[in-house]
Order: sequence, then C-alpha cells, then structure tokens
Amino acid sequence: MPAKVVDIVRAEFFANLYWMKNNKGLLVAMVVWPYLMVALVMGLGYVFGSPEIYAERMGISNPALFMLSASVVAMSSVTIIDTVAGYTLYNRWLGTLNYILLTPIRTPRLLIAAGLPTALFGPAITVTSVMPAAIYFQGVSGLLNLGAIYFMIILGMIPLLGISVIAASLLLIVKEESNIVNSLVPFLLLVSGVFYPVGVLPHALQLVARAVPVKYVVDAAKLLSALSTTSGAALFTVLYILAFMGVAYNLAAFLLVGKVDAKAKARGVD
Amino acid sequence: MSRLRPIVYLHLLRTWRYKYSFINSTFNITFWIAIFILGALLFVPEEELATTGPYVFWGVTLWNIISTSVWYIAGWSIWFFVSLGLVEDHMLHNTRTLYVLAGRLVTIATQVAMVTPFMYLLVSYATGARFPLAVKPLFLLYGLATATVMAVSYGLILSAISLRTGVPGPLLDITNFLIFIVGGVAVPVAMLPGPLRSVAVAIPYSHAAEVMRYGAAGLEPYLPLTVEVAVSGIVAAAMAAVAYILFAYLENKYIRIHGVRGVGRM
Repeated sequence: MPAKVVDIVRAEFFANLYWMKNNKGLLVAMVVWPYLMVALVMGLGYVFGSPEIYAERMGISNPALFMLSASVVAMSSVTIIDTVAGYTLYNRWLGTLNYILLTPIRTPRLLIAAGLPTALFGPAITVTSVMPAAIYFQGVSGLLNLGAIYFMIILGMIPLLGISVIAASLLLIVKEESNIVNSLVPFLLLVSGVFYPVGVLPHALQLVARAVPVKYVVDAAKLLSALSTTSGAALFTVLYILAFMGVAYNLAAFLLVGKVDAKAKARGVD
Repeated sequence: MSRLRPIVYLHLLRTWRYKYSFINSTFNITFWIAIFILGALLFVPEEELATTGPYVFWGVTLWNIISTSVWYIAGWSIWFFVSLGLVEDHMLHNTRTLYVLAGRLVTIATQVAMVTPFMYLLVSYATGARFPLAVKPLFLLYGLATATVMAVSYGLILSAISLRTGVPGPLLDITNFLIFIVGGVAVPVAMLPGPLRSVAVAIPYSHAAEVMRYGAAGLEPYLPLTVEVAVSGIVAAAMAAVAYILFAYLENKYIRIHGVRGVGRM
C-alpha cells in the first residue's frame, strides 16, 4: 500500500520523539537556548547601556519577557527551516534520498509532511522552556500571552514551511555536502527585527522584511506585550497577512518543487 | 615543509570545491552576529555609541575566531574526518591527523578574513561612527595571534577527545556563548560585574582580548599590561602543548591499540 501524508507525519513524529529521547544534549540545548540568546543580548546591553533605553526604543514594558518571546519565535523559525531544508541533505548523507524521492507520494507533499511534526514540536519545547520566566514576570497573564504567541508562531510556521520547502528543493539540485541555505534562517530573522525595530535596518532590507512571515510573528509578540483595543485590531491584521502568506508561499513551493523534483529525477540523485 | 604543503593545498582546494557552502557560512555568521549586535546596541545611549564601537567590533571578531575554530576543527573532524574513516587512511599514508586538522587554520583564517570586513561595516553602521582599527597595532596583532593559537588548540583538544568519546555538539555552542558573555571576550573585564571579573580572569581568552582591546582602542587592561601579555603568551603555548601531547598519545598509542570511534557524532 503506498505511503500517505499521514504515514509520513506519523513516522516523522516518532523520529522526532526518539531523536529527542536519545539526544538529551539537544533537548537541553533547546530548553536553554532562548535564555542564552536573551542573556547574550541583555548581558551586552546591561554592560554598555541600560534596559530602560531599550524598553523606550522598542515601546515595550518588560525587555526580558519580550526578548524571551522573540527568542522563542527565532528558535522556532530556526528549527523548522533547518529541519525541512536539512531533510534532503540528511537523507543524501544517509544514501536514502533517492529511495525517498521514488516513493509514490509527491515530493512537495513529502517535504511539508516531514516538516509538520517539527513545526509543532520545536515551538512547543521552546514555549515550555520560557514558561517559568513568563510566570515569574507576569503570572497567569504571562502564561496566556505565551499561549497566544504560540498560536501566532504556529500560524507563522505555515508560510515558513513553504519557504523551507523551496529551500529544500535548492538542496536537491546543488550538490554540496553542507546545508548551503542555512544562512537563510539568520537572514529572515535579521530582516524580521527579532530584537530591534525593523526601522534600524537599511531601507532595502525594510522592504524585504514585508515579505517575511517571521516579521509579523515578531510584530504580534510586540503587540501581545502591550494588549489594548488598538493592538487587538492590529493583531487581526497580522493574522490575515500570515494566512495570505501561508497560501502564497505553499502554492509557490508546490509549483517550484514539482519542477525541481522532475529535474532531479531526470538527472539522478547522489 | 614538504609535509605541510599538501595539507595547505588540501584545505585550499576543499574550500574552493565547497565554495557555496563557504560563502553561505560567511553570510550565516555575519547575519547571526548582526542580529545580536543590533539588539544589544539598542541598550546603549546615543552619545556613547561611538566609543562602544571598537569594543564590540573586536569582541565579535575574537568570538568569531573562537567559534569558527571550534566548529571548523572539532566539528569538521567529528562530522567529516572521523565519520568517513579518514583518520586511519592518513595514518597509513604517514600523515599525522594533528597536522591535517591544524591545517584547518587555512579555512578558519579565510572565513574570518571574509566575515571581518562585514563586521566592521555593520558595527560602523549601527554605531554611526567610523573608528580606527588600531592605535597600537603590535599589541593588537599579538592579542590576535595568541587568541588564535588558543582557539585552534582548543579545537584540536576537542578533536582529540572526539577520537575517543562523544562530544555533545549543542553544549559546545552553549560554552561558546558563555565564553563570549562572561569570558571577557565581548566586554572589557573591568566593565563586568564584580564576581564575573574573577570568572573572566580564569578564562584564557580574556587575557588575549584585553591585549587586543589595548592595541585596538588604547583601553588599559584589568591586570597590568605586562601581566596580560605574559599570561596570554604562556596560556597559548600551554594549550598548544596540551593539544600536541594529546594527539601524540592518541596517534602513537591509543588509536593503534583501540582504533578510532566508528561513528563520529556531535
């Protein structure tokens, strides 16, 4: 019986689960990472300046909590793109890519299905890791905020999944041993203004930022840290933009990967 | 010299063959550093941005050397050199693993040389000031040289360990971050909070970093300059000696009896 999308998702889910179970170091790193990112930026900031200046420039009340939320967004983005784009690379290393591409399921569907468990797992782990800090700073409302940010991240992961699949398709045709598109992740985070307002970037990068889903998730995190009627309306705008991007990027991924897949199969995969 | 030439050629050729990966790494490092720097500089009052520039620039440059050395020597040897079974192959061809791995300095230097101008542009852009690269170039070069020897030796020590046992890769990244924050790399030791100064002084890189900052911006080190110069030189030499002795033991005794770990993971 040919494999279905559900089978791929289930297989990847268990692969993720056992990878975490057998790789405690990675799990520890995922939990610690948001705190390290914040410690790095805030540590430098405290030594050279003050958090009040940062809060004023960003228009937020609690720099530490905002940065933790932003780190969760950043980490989730890293995880999803690395996993989906790395999927083709990892299977090439193992020598299983050619078998996977020959399975009856279409390659774009396969890549999206393979990335889905990570899209849920990654953010869930990082959100859980910053829960203690959210409770410490804001109590129950901090937890609710974090829940809302998780929802926005999941929504932001949908267009990001499309971008990841496009990146993965590049790895099908460029034959190098390492992930030549892994600079895509920091680039998307850079233009998204994870720890700073997009306004500090050169104008050209500000324009690019408008097409990057992570920017809207970060915007949502900022809005959620200052909930009001106005920000509620702005949040809905962010939701609509992310929904539109989700459709657009995944459609583009389907169209592009189909062609790349055909080319890779015609030329052969090594 | 005749043994070193093919090793240098190997790493140059390899860098050329994987040019897309190499260029990608340059951008990857630059973008990550930019994310953190742009965030951190938002804490700094407008009027102090210009004076902060040189510390931040040389801090991230030094961190780039440390981090690149760890991943390009230890990471490469574990993911690539060990996994493909190249240790035994080189030994059979009378080529020391130590020299092959130390030859990665060619790739590290090229990578650092490519990233550094981007860093200068970034910090200049973010601080709005074009600062001089050095006020006492000899001290800057000495600090850079000792820091590089320390970083390469640390990478080699990790590689040596990985020939016998597993090295948890994600934790290496965490260590790199901690060194950057509390190791006197990112900020002058004197500017760190009280207890962290003692921690920074205990971390070898801080001494090289203090000498670098003196050469770059004329900032007086936390300990007397002569002490910093002496300590950074002695520590660099000691770390290089430890790496050499470890490899000598592994190559001449351990591997010949027990072999290399079958699968390299990090």
